[in-house]
Amino acid sequence: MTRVEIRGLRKSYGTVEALRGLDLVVESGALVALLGPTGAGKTTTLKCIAGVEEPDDGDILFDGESVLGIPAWRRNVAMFFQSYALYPHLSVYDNIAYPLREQKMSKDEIDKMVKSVAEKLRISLLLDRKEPSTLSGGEMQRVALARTLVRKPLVFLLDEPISNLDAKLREEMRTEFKRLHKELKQTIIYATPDYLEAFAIAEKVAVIKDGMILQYDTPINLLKRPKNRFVATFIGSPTINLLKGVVRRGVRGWEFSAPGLRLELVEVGGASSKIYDGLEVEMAIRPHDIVLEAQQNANTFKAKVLAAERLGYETVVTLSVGEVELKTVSKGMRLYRYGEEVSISIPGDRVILFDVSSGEAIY
Amino acid sequence: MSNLRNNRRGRRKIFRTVLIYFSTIIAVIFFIFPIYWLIATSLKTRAQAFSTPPLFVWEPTLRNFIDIFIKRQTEIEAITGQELELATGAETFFYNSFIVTFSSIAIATVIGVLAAYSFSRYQPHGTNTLMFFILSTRMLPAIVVAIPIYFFYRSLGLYNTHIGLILLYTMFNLPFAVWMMKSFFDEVPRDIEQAALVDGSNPIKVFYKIALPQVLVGLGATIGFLIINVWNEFLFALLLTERATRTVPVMIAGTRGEVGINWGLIAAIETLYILPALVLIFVLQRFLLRGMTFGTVRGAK
Amino acid sequence: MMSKPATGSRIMKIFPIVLIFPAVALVVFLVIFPLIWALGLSFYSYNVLRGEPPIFVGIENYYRLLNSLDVWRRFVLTGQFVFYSVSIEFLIGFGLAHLFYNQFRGRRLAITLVTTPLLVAPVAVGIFHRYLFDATFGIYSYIAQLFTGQSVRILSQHPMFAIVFMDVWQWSPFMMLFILAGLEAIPKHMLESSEIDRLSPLAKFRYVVWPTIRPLVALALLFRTMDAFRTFDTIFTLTGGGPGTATEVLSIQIYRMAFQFFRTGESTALAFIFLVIILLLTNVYLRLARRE
Repeated sequence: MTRVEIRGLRKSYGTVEALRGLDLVVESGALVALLGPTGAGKTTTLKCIAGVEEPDDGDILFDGESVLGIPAWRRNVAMFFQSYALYPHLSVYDNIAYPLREQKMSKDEIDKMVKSVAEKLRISLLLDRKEPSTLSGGEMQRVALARTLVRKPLVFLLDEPISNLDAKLREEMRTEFKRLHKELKQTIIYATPDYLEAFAIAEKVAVIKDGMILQYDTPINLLKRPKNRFVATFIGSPTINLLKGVVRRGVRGWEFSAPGLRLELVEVGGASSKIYDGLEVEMAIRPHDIVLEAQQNANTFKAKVLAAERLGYETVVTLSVGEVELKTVSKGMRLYRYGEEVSISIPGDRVILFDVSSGEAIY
Repeated sequence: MSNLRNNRRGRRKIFRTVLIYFSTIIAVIFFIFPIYWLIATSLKTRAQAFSTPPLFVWEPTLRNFIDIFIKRQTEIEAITGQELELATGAETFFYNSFIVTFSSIAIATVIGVLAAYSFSRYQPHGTNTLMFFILSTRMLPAIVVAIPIYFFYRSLGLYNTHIGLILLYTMFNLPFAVWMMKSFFDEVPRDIEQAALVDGSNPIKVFYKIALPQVLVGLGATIGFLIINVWNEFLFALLLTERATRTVPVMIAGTRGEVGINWGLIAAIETLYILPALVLIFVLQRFLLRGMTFGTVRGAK
Repeated sequence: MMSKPATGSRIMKIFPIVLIFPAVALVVFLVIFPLIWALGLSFYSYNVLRGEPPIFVGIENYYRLLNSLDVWRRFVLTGQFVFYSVSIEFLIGFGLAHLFYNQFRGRRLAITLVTTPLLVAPVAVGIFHRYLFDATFGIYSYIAQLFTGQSVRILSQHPMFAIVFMDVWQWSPFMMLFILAGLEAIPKHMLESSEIDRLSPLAKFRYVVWPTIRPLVALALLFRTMDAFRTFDTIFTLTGGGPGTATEVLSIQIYRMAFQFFRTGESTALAFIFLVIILLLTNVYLRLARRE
């Protein structure tokens, strides 16, 4: 049980700035996902925590004490490497036993722990294999995972641990991680580019981009109240709808207007200081929040179906409203045809507004 | 119609195959013939070696190989009346070559591997400058440093000593060892070593438990090339040794000025001398380019 | 700004320096130091045999050498040797590489056999070519006689041919390896698409093959030119620079000047001129290779 705190972490490789003042607090025993696209700085962050990369500036604290002075081999963290980093010259068994042997554990104890973790990850039959390079990608990943999970460290750092497994195993592993976390009560930092994975396992998710944390929040808040345009577009599928337009003061309050579209905004009060008449904004609305075939009320529009993609129990429908295009999701089995007219309504309280230039959320 | 075309294509293919094999045989004969002839001559008696036209069929004899190591007045000496270095038996020279090669390679390998690992992994300040400098020593003509080193060695008492040659060869081999081993270490993924660090191994353990086992094949290839380099070196051995420490190449070159030399005997010594290289070429083929270019060019498949 | 000194990172910083130190020390002791010493000596008139202290003469050594017709003749001689050897090696290497680019049974073995000369000791090569070129017993002379009908004394009549022939024999495979590596680096799909587009062989070479192998060819030429310039062992043991001074290339001239005539100061000056030529050539090559 260790509380991990990262303060103003900076790291560059040559002229490339990988981390640009990253702050993050992971409470003791929490499972936090580090979510971001490739090259965002996830791996660098984890490597700095593990101690194999040295930050240029900033501090890393375990339970309030800086660990920068502790070399990697005495820092007692376990890390899963995205490249698996199996030791090619050691057998599968020796790979998993390696960290335990470095801790000078007794042979019997090591044997017991290796076998139990192998069983959990269903690689018991692979233990005798001499050359890890002959394993399949998924097998390698599980061996590497076993080598990480066999330990009892202060913190687990997992760098995309299940990205290469097939869909079914991945689902199982997600559940497994949740169970493991409950069982171990260990601090886990889990890096992934897949928001569904992050949402499925983590209580809190830190969205990282260009070496900075953009938003650190619960999955629900990330969906409902993204702090900026990047977070809004990175999370959610189909991607959130974005429309450029202007804020106007209407009869009943603030309105958003784009060519052919006029939207009443609800509860703008809190952020009103930033809003003024004629402000150029980007309006965002999640496809799932748009109500198809709505009853007549405010914010209801006539729309024409442009395309419909059937994805199992859901259908992604692309619509044209006025001069803009919107995507929405329809549940159920109804078929949509090209050119068909439907009415939609956009709930004013689900709308998010972003400043055009900074991309920050203003409402 | 199509049959005809197939026929023509088939004939062209046969012609092509014949051409390839014919050229290959010519090339192999051209490049292997002197070596074959060298070995053949080593199996000839003095008279057979001096026959005109050259003998292509004869009864091979191992006499020359026995003569090399027998300490006695050789027939050459009896005929020419000149004292040849050969007359003392060649084992001293082979012994010297062996001692010098073995020791300098042992030292160069240890120091070179450590430095290469360090350059590859930690890239300390000035790595590029230093690496470039080390590489440029390859372009340095030996004769340019030979003059000052000759005088140094004379005044330091390193002249005509094993240790002097060993030091020198260690130095000449270091750049090679560093560059080549660096190219092998560069191929070991960093993540593997970082994983070992996280798993609780200190850098020294990571080096010998994780990194070194990955480059064993490369290490073998590097040592092979170092052997060839030292074993074949001539100029410095010529300048810095006298009878007691003389190596094989100097001895062989010493036969140059002689008249009426026993070519069979010389050929036998040369055959023994180039034998390590002949064996190593089969082992090192895959690394030939890498070896001959300091590891800067990776070999072909 | 800086975080407090960290024990772990301090180890990580000292560790590599400890590893590199011995290598650097040896290089400084046996290369840098002698070079500086030699550079100093090149400004002195000094003869070891006479045992007199060196006399400072400034750039006189350089002046005399660069004004000596004899030295210029050696420059030309060395240049000829390098030019003939390297260009023939390039042609043969180029041909061989294209031959071995084909897949056929025994290819691996053929490559190994052809590259054997590369590892054979130069001294052994030189001495043995004496036998091969011997006017009476040499098999090369015998073959030459078969073709020309008269006895040819190759070493005394065509010494330049002999040393170039020997160099070509030993080093053509080197060129072959480079060019072959270049050919094998050409992406298969590019060759296939050039077939589909029905490119003429010449156009295929110009647009597909050449761009890939060019850097390797440049490097091979650089290595070979430099090595040919420095050639000492083989020529020294085959002809000893003779007959007369017909094959006395620069490195042999420096050797003789320093260790047979003991004109020490002058020989170091010549050695430095030699070094400068090599550095300049390297630079020219690298620049040419980079510009195209």
